[in-house]
Amino acid sequence: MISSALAVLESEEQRNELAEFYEKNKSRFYAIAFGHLHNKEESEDAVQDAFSEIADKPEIFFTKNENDRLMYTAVIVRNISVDYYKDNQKRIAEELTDDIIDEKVEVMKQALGECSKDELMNYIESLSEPLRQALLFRIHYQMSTSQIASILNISETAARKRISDAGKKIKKYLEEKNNV
Amino acid sequence: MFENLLDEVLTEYYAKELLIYSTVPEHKFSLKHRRAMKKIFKVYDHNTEPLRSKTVQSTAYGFSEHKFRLTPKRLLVLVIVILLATLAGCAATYFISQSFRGEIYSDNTELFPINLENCPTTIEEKYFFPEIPEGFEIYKTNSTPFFESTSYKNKQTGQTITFSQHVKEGFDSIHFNTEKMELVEIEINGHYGLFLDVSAEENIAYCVIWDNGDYILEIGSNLDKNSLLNLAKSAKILEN
Repeated sequence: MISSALAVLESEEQRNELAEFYEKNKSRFYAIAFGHLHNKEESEDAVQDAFSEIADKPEIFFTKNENDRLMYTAVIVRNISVDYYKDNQKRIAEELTDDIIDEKVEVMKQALGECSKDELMNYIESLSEPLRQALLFRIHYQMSTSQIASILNISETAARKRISDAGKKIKKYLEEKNNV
Repeated sequence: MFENLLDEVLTEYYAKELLIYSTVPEHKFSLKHRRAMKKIFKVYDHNTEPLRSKTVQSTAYGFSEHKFRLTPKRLLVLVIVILLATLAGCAATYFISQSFRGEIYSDNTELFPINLENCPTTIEEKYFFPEIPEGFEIYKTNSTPFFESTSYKNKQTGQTITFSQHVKEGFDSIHFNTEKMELVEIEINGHYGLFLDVSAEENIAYCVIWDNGDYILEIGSNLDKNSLLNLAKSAKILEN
């Protein structure tokens, strides 16, 4: 009988892992979405879509600790919220031309010179949100270009371009800083 | 290494952003959203099954230490089960199904719903049967903010059907006369419930009770078992 109870509790653990995370943080995610959308129903939909994305492709979420899950989900909620307003023509305009596709996307591995943490924080704060998100998923979550494209709901080409643009901007930022 | 520094800065940036939202007012999500989220959690469970099977390590008791987490709620359930199990001279036995736990006494069973999370606190949407068996007509209804009941009767055969909808939080418990009867776990449209044969002598009587995620639904009738189960599966929300 006790083992039966334990079995039920164990299955409850499986059933509620994402549910517990959602229960604990749902108002926070709603607030993030509402901050962009200012609409109750759309904000709830944005939270729903974010969790649906996670449920469909749970590998990254499943392997992360609480803080990383929080950050990951918050970024997805924000991205989806912004997408609700995003014009399709603007999204298409992000697509690369053929000659840029061949450029190697290797972020930050080349020697860029000395850079302090504060200087780097200034750079990160100056980036646009799409580039910052792509960088976070690449550097911190070690996601591939196709994974980033899937989670941000953009094409692989656009994902590659965002990472490439972020890399070019930091290089330019540091070169300008060193030349000052 | 530069990449480590960048990683550190990125996480620090987003941690600061999240801090802004750390003390926000609690939002009451709509029923539509809550219902959609339950489906999403099921998808997550299904998709993480292969991931879980890679991390499970069996212990001597057949449970994974990696998976089992003793939250306060679970500890309380465990303590209650253990205490009740060790009471001397107690005539009750206990069971736990997917949706209900029960205390079985010598001549009756008391049922309690297990999962009370994320459910409406009043009747927000009423359930009904789009089609009822031929010959049946409504003869009684009962309605409160926490409970809905519709009774049907077939005047020719004398058969009755009583369909009840309970708000889960207000559903303290329910007693069924189960002397010499068994509880059978059943599935209704992806949700778990119980089928009880509460027939006495020559009078057949069955009850189906299930947790549909939002409410406890219950049908008592002297229809045959298959008709009763089909009726249960046909229950749907009454659109205004």
